[in-house]
Amino acid sequence: MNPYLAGFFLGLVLLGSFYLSGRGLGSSGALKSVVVSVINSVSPDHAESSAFYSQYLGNGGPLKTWLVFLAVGVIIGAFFSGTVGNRLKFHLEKGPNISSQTRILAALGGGVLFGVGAQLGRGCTSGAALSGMSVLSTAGFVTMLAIFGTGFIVAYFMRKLWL
Amino acid sequence: MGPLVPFGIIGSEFNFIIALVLGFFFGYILENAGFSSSRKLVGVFYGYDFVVLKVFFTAAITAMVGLIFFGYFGWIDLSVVYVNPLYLWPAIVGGAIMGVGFILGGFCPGTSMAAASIGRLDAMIFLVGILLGVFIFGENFGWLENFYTSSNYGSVKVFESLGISRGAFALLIIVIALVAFYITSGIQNKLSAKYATGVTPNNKAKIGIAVTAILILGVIAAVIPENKKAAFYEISSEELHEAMNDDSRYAGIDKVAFHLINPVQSTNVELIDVRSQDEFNKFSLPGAINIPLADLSSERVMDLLLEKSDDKKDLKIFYSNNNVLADKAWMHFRRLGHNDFYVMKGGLNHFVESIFHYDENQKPTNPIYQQAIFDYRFKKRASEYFQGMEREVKTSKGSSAPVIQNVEVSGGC
Repeated sequence: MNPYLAGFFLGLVLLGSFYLSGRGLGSSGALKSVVVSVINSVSPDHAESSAFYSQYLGNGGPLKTWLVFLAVGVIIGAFFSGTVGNRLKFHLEKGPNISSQTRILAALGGGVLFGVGAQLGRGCTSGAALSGMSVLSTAGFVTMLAIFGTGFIVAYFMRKLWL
Repeated sequence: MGPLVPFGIIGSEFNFIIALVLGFFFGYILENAGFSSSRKLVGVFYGYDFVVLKVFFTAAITAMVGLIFFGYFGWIDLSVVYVNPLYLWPAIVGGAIMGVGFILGGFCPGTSMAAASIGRLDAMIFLVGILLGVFIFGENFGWLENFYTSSNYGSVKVFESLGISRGAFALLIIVIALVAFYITSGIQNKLSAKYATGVTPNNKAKIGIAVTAILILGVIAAVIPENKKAAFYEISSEELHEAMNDDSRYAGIDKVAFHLINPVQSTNVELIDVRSQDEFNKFSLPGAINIPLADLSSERVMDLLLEKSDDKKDLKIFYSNNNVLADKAWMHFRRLGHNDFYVMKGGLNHFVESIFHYDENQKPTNPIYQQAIFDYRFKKRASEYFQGMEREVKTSKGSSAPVIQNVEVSGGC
């Protein structure tokens, strides 16, 4: 799909989300719900006593939230798109000059950083930056600038990973 | 009027189905736009593929402009839409950490979910990493909490900080994005051959049409009034003082009583009880709505009251036990430039005193005082009318009058 057209459609989905439910799209919230629910089932006391986990225990369990359903939709939708476009394939994508092992470690490390950063920043690229920018929230713009600004600064030092 | 679920137009039981459907399209578009490829995603940082920038900005602009038009046409109440609060330093530090994570991992959470679902192993590992990261954050929340909740500026909007209108700011973003698209496509053309990840060539005619269309929409968005509130002004303290000394803000109890007896003929009267909810539940005038004084300045209540003030026939009367609270409410709106609010003179005490407990013996006898005789007849009739009602209202526990409910929307990523 043409990126501008894709962006336009994504914008319409986002607009629909605001119109229907009064909020934007988000991704990292669902992953947080997964973590909270795992901790809650392994050690309910720990989840209960933690100032962080306990705020997401809610009624109906931590997995019964709007963002979890959204994430399930994302997985189904992407799978559908991949099936239609014949792109379903187990594959480790990496830069041409690194080993698979390096890629795995980098992907894991990147994920850890994103997990921490998205909590601190109260949302990730979609929930804080994209949805925030759409409602013109200062938080959305600050988060967007921080993510991409830092990205451009460190990209040079990590160029071996990708180029 | 939207948003539909928070306003109860669509039942909240559909909320999860809506999430599932929205997620489906979200995932479909991400995957279809090529966001399931980490090399394509990080291309934006190395200049060989700007798909992230294009999709991201086009989506943000589409939703941004769409929301402005939805707000203008009254399809959505923008004051109910979730605006993520600004915690300045946590947002900067969190964003910076995410920026490093983006380069290192090649994904962000949404794109990694899309990529993992079509079998990208690096995306699955990235997702495991996120779960670990959330866990690490959760376990260290104790000492991070102070920082996490620091520098809170509330749900500030960037155009307010800059002192320009929502639409003007949106136009500014459109122009910036178009310039960015133009510059980056030049860079991409040079570098994509070297690090090609499959870039869709652009059709110049179509791009031209799209650019023109979005610019026109942007200019319209910048020109149309943001919402009704933007047209109001604050009056000066001298004007306010003058208005305070003037009794014209008072609506006599007879007027209120007349409205209550003849609701059909005087549908243009709105009674607003500014006392606490407890007091309101104990006793209130029929048909009155309860907005405790402390809630008056909330955006939601302001919108509700001001929306009605568009209709010039509306007569909005504040009342409390005496004049004090109602006067405060009146002053609040008068200061903001609204002059179609009134205060029920003497408040409920006076109302109960002169209507419910009307003294028959006060009947004026001198026919010269025609107005007084008229008043007497009216009050007598009102008194008879209300005798039954007073008991009924006092004994019934809850009130049948509508109470303003706070609509709350939570959000987040």
